[in-house]
Amino acid sequence: MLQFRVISAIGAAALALMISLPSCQEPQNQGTVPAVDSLNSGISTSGTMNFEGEIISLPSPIQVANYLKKNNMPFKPELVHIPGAKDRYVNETKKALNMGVYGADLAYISNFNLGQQNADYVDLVAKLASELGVLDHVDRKIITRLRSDLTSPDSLIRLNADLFHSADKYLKSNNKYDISAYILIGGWIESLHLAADAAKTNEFLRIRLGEQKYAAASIDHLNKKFTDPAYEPIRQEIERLCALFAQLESTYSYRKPIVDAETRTTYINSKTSVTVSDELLQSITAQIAKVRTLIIE
Amino acid sequence: MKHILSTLSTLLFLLMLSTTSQAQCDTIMTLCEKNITEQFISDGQVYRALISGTEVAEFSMTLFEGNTYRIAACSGMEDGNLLFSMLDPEGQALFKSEDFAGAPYWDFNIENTVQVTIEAKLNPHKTQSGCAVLVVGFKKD
Repeated sequence: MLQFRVISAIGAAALALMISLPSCQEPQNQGTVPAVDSLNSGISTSGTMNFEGEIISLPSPIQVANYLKKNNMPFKPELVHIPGAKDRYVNETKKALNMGVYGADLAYISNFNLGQQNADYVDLVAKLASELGVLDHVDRKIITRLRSDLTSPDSLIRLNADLFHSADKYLKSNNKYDISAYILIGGWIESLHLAADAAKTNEFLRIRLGEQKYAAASIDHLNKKFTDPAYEPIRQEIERLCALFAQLESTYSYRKPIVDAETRTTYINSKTSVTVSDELLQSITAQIAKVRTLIIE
Repeated sequence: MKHILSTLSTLLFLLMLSTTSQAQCDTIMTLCEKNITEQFISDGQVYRALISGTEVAEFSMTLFEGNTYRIAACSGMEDGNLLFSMLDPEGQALFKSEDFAGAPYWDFNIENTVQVTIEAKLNPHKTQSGCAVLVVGFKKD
């Protein structure tokens, strides 16, 4: 009996070890799918591996904030999520999603020299990062500088990006792919929400919003992997949002890139075009609002 | 009992291997981040995978018009261990680092928004397996 217990304990330990092995060490041979974590099943149909399974590249919310600034879109306080809502979020999924939301809001407000409001959003992001167990693993210098460089938009934007990069690094190093993905999804939805408002009156931002159809395709694939019941209603609405993005028509035309080897720069001239009809824009905007409400409620 | 000890030894070995590889990945990541210099802002994400032999790691991304992106690719402690390519939606290569002596980073000036696939593979002349790391930044206006 004792031997059985010891062997069982070893079996459990072996299983725990297999599960805890970071994917960076997982043998990802072609044709095999690691069984320990569906988010890590990273073999693509082309026979190559995706980075960290379904963990994909999403446009940074800072880029959307930059586009809003470049197009002289005025600050609209009603667009950002209210700071007082933070305490509503009790489970990890909601905390992670809203860390992404507040991070995107911080990128947005950084461009408007809002003083105390900057400080409030830095605190919100830092508190949620702390509650998710991430803050202790982020470079202390980033947090210190974030709290002291609040009046410099450039510095705030850079430090915000560094904070999220550092958090993502820690989460992926420790196999917390779901938390990492929820943060990215929260940030993505909030930046869509900001872009959708601007797209109502600005043609440039309307097209940029339409170009999110490519990211939506990746999100849709990733979205299907989540099993947290707290996420289920959000998952279903994101699926509907991605289906709307998929309806946007797009074309691609190749143009030869120009290379400047001296400056290590390639000029990419190929073009992807997306057509955004009024009807689809309206549906997408309404669906973004629906998803966002579920995330922030 | 011998069987138990043997299993425990294997577990201990795996645990040590895991810790070492993890530390190696983290070190490579820290080195690779240095390529995203002051003019660039991180995209906030980390791309990494363990690859060996001729395996190829890939991910897709949207490059938005009017931006300059920097992509850095690292594996091990030396430049050029990881080769990377950028492919367009039709699978045509827009860039291959192996055409430029395995340059560890490259900048991409984007005239019009384009959806691309980034592929990374080990330089067979330099290494046979390792932790592949890519970092992406975009130029701040």
